[in-house]
Amino acid sequence: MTGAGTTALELRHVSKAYPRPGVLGRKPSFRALDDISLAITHGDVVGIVGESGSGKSTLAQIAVGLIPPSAGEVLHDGTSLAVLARTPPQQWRPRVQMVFQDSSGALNPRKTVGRCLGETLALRGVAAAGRIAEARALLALVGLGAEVMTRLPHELSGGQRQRVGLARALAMKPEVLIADEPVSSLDVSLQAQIINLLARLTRELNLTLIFISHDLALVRSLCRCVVVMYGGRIVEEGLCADVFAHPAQDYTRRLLAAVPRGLSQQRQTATMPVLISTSAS
Amino acid sequence: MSARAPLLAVRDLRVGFPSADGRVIEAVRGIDFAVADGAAVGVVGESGSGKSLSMLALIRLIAPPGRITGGVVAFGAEDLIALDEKRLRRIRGRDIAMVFQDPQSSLNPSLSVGRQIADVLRAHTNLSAAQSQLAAAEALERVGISPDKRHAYPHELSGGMRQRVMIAMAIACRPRLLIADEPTTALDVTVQAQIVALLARLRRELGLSIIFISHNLQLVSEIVDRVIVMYGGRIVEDGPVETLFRHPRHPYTTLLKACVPNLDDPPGPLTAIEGAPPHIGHMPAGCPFAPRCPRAIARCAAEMPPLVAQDAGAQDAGAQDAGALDAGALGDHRVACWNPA
Repeated sequence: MTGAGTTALELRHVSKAYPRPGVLGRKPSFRALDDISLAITHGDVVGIVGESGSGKSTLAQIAVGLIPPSAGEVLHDGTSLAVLARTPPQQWRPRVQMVFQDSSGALNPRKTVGRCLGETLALRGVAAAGRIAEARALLALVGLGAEVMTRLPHELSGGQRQRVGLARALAMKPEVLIADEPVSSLDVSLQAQIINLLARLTRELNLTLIFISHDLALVRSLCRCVVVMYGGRIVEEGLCADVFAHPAQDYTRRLLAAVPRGLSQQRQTATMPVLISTSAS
Repeated sequence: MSARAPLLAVRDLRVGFPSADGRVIEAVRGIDFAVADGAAVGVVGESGSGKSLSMLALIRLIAPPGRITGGVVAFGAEDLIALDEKRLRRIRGRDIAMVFQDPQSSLNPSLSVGRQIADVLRAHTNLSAAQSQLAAAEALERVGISPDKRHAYPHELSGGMRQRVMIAMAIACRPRLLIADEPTTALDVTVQAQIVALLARLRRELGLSIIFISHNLQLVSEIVDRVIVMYGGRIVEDGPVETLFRHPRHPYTTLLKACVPNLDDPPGPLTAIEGAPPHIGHMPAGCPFAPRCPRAIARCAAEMPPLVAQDAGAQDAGAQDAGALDAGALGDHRVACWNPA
């Protein structure tokens, strides 16, 4: 996205193709991402919206280095991830961290919160003596008391687990935080709590935030810019204020029309076509 | 409308769980409401408010050690709570059907969706195998799925299509009441919109009554006539959707609505309800929402506010006389709060 600062995260012509199981392998592969180029400036808050199957989660996983792209390049702070991956871990700290939709799947069910945070801090090279104090400070940062240190993930509520997932991501002192549908499985009241927390942390810790969601109203309230994805491509991007007020693409307009508005009943629900054919068998 | 008996009338329904020391802890603490024939009612509240539990209790789908500890669920001439298991099973799935949040776990992965719908039909009707196949194809068509898709297996369908299959299965026997528990929560906003539109259409076409359980007041408000707001195992406010949406009186309803941002809202912090709902077994003595409530006064912590009809001009004297239970179906507005807005 445009801005005066330097680029924290960049994707250059990134594509991701998955082979499709077919008789004799003749089916063409499925392109989850198709030539994505995106540059995100330090300190920016960017929303990525789109439906299931639009490629937004694949984009996140490639951006953080969880899966390799089929083509193209990912750069963290100007250095290619392919180069960073060959660097000894002692000399390289991952600058991009991720928070997932379902933290219960992302946290080891047999490790207490304290142990989980402690191991992450060890990975960052924090000396054993300082880990407990720092783990407590991290929990305080995300609004949890020190008493959750001894708890196992299943003993926490959904909102608490999501806060622990956030604390663990922050334990690596990231510059960029990618939150992939972090509130989709939460109640509306918890959604608001977590969104406000993300906004505060981004500000206080000077983070760059990439917020992936299918909820356009949440993106509108949290993010400066928005990237609209459809079928593995970026179909529209720009400042939230512009895109939401004057969407240039028909697809963006249809996404906006699908947002619940309560009584007004102005959603064009009755005539809304199935937008994605790839996921519907 | 006022002359008709409601389709469903619930009085003082309670669900309890045994505690470690042998007492019974109530998670649903006496709720009264009614569903008029053909009406759509939304039930909203956070996780742990008791909304799913109370609606499952209507058809006695409470997993042990939980059990229904009291109340009456009048459905037509029958009390579903007192009914023997055999008769209840005939009503459940035929007259009252359910749709859950996660169709993946409700569908059998090894049978075609058409077969699964046909199985439900055969269990509840006298249709032959061939006839139920035909009826299954019809049910699929009614929810917007091509009848050719009846041979598809669940994994071959998208999340939205699977939820349509669940709805087809639910309406196949032409139930009078559909209980939909967070049917769109796991879905994208666009698919969500399609499912909500589908439920509205089915209600129109089949004269179906719907109970729509959700944590999102905005979403349910699009298709229901009445909204019930639950907190701490009790109804804290209910009334016509227009009233609750535009002029909520319970602070919890106001906050629940404010939590969800609108597209036209300026960017910035969201309204959040700090804290979490009380755990069962640790219910405050007074209003369960008092510890989180911005309008709480001294009385709130000490004394449970009763659910009382509001004196808005909307209701006539006849409705007042009909008593709380019948009034529930008539369009009155009730609030349980010592210091309502």
